[in-house]
This record gives sequence, C-alpha cells and structure tokens, in this order.
Amino acid sequence: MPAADERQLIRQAQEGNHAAYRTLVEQHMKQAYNVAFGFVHDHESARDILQEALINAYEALPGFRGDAQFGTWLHRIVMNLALNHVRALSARGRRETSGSADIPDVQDEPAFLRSDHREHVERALHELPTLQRAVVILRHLEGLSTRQVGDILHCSEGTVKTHLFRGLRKLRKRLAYLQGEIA
Amino acid sequence: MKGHRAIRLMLYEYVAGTLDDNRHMLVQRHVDNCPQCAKECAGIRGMLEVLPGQTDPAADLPPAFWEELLNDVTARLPARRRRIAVPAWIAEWWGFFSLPRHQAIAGLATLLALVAIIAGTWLTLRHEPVLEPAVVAPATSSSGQPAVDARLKKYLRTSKALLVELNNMPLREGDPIDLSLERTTSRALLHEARYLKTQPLDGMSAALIADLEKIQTALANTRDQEEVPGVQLIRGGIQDENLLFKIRIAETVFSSIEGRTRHGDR
Repeated sequence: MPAADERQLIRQAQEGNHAAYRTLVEQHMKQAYNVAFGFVHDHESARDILQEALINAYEALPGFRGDAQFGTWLHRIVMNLALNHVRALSARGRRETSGSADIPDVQDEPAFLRSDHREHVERALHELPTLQRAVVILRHLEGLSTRQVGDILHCSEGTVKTHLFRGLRKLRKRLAYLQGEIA
Repeated sequence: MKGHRAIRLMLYEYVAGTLDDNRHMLVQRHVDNCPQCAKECAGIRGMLEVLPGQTDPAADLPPAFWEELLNDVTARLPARRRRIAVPAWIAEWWGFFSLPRHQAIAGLATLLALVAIIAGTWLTLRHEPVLEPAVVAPATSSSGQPAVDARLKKYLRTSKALLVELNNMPLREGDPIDLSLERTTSRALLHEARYLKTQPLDGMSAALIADLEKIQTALANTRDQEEVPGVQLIRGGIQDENLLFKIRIAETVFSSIEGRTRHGDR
C-alpha cells in the first residue's frame, strides 16, 4: 500500500472511521500475528494478543504522530502484550507450549519442529533475558531488519546486534546437547 | 579495517548471508585470519541449523480465521467522539496536563508550595494582632482611628495602581519616557507616607510604607523625559522587593480584619 494511502487511512481511523481502521489493519495483521506467535508459540494466545493489540492500537491511535511506521508501532504494542503474556504465564509457574489441538497441520514444518527439539528450543528461547529474546525472535524468526527491530525496541542498530550476538551465544550453549556440531 | 568487536557483531549477518558485498568481504577477510571469529561463525552456523528459521505461521491460517478476527476487533472498537474545535485558552490549559509526567508533577508541586506560602503568610499576619495586640497594633479598627485606616487603604490602593502602571508601561529602547504623571503621584504619596509614619501602625504596614517610599522617592526624582534604563531600574526595585505582592497581602489582611470587626459589632 502506498505511504500516502496509509496516511489517509490513519487520519480517517483517528477520526473514528472503523472501516478505515479495518483496511489499515488488514495490511499489517499477518506480520503482527507472526510476532505474537514468535513469543507465545500458541495460535490461540497469539490470536488473543493480536486482538487486544488491535483494540489498544485503535484507542491509542489519536496519539500516533507518525514518528515511526504504523506497522512498527503496531509490532511494538503486540510485542509488549506478548511479553506480558509470557511473564504472566511464568509467574503462574506454567508455560504454554504448542498445544497440539490448537495448531493446524503444517505440512512443510522442518523435521526438528515435529520432534522434541521444538520444545527444547522454545524453552531455551524463553530462558533468555527479555531483550535478547525479543531481538532473536524479531530479527531471526520474523526476519525483520536490524533497523526495524531497533525501532520496535527503541534502541540503536548497534544495540540490536549486541543483543542478537549475546542471545545466540547463550542459546548455543543451552542447546549444545541437541547437536554435536554446535560449539 | 574494522576492529574485532565490530566484526563480531556482524557475524550473524555474515552467516545468514544478509551483508552487502563490501561488508561480506570485510568480514570474510577478518574471519580467515581470526580463529576466534572463525569458531564463532561455526557456532552460529550450527545454531541456525537447530533454531527454526523465518517462520510464517499466519500463512497457514484460513481466511475465515482473519475474517472472524477482524469482525471481533471491529465489534469491540469503541465509538470515538468527533473532534470539536476548542478555544485556544482551553487547549493551552489542557496542554499543561499533557506535559510529560515529571514536568506536570514539578509544576503542581511548585503551585502547592506557592499556595502553602501564601496561606501561611496570610494566617500569620491574620493572627498577629489577635495574638499580640499590645505589641503590634493593627492600623485598622484596633487603633481606634478610622480616618487613619481609610488613608492607609487609599495610600496602598494608589501605590498599587502606580506600580502596576509602571510595570505595564511599554518601553522602547531609545524613546524617552514621559513620567510627569507618575512623578506627581509619587510626590503626593511621599507626603501621605510621612503622615502615616507618625501614626500607630502595625509592623507590616510600617515596613511596607518604608519599602514603597524608596520607589516613590526614585520616581519623584525622575527627569521630565526619563530613559528606558532608568525605568527598568525602578521596575527591578519593585520586583526585587515583591512590592505588589506585599500590598495585596496587606489589603487582604485589612479586609479580613475589617470583616471580622463588622461581624463582631453585630
């Protein structure tokens, strides 16, 4: 969607036009969903988080001044909600992993994702400090650029790279038992 | 040549193949000569084999999922009031509350401190004649001289008008200022001050008259066509001594005592 059209939709949504907001959201909801899923690994939770984020974003939209792109701004809201969700689960002493009933069949999943490795990787990811985990998920799993990740996390590209380096190093140590070739 | 630390932060991009050609070459050269970074690269490579790559779970969801999600969201969206044009002064006032929290708190704290000081001063002065009637005789009803009270009030009122006018006077650098009216008024006020000082005034009024006399003397001695710096000097004196504030406090105290006296007479 051209930037001018998006700005127009944002203006209309700021004035209370629900249809404009719906159109705007359609452009970004899938990637926002992937961001949520990257943190919670559960379709139902990802859907709840996205829904909450979209409502929060609408309420906060009058204050959106366009300093960042709308997509980046939405990702930040999604990420904060997802982190809160994960924190709440940790606090309750139970961490949601992929509920088999909630996840649709995925034909092209890599082999290791269908094995026990997936749970190990998820656990190792969730044991990372918050910023390192966020960077690894956004940069590596979601494929966002270093700059986009920096915008979402309100930090410089250098900081993103540092957190990515440290996060991957910790993951490597924690998952060294999975594959002999991991140093 | 970039340093080892800088190169190390690019190793992920290098292994993932997302560096541009120049940087790729740069990192390549470094890795070839740095066993530590070479080992790091091998580790990252192994890590990426275990870690799931870029995923797109959203792509696997049916269109009905998104339709339902959008419907749910739209149904829960609150109605937004249309923006109405508000007067500028309301917008400015509201702007105060839109300040960053620390600024708003600092502003509020200052306001509260100011209110506390004013209230404290007022209460102290208000009780002064009641607590120590023999030591500090108020210039009003307790002096038993209504004529003096009336002259003091008029003196303060005229002084206030004079100071306000002087403060609000537009000053243009280079333009001479006609202060003849202010000079005449000041001379009359000095005459009145001399009379009041002979009367049994309370400490606050006596001190205030003494302060006002300095300004009035300066004004009484101004030239026909005063220059801007001279006026600014007098203005500075008014502000340094907080004279307008002191006059207002004195007037408030007198009004309060008058009201109490009237109430007690009934």
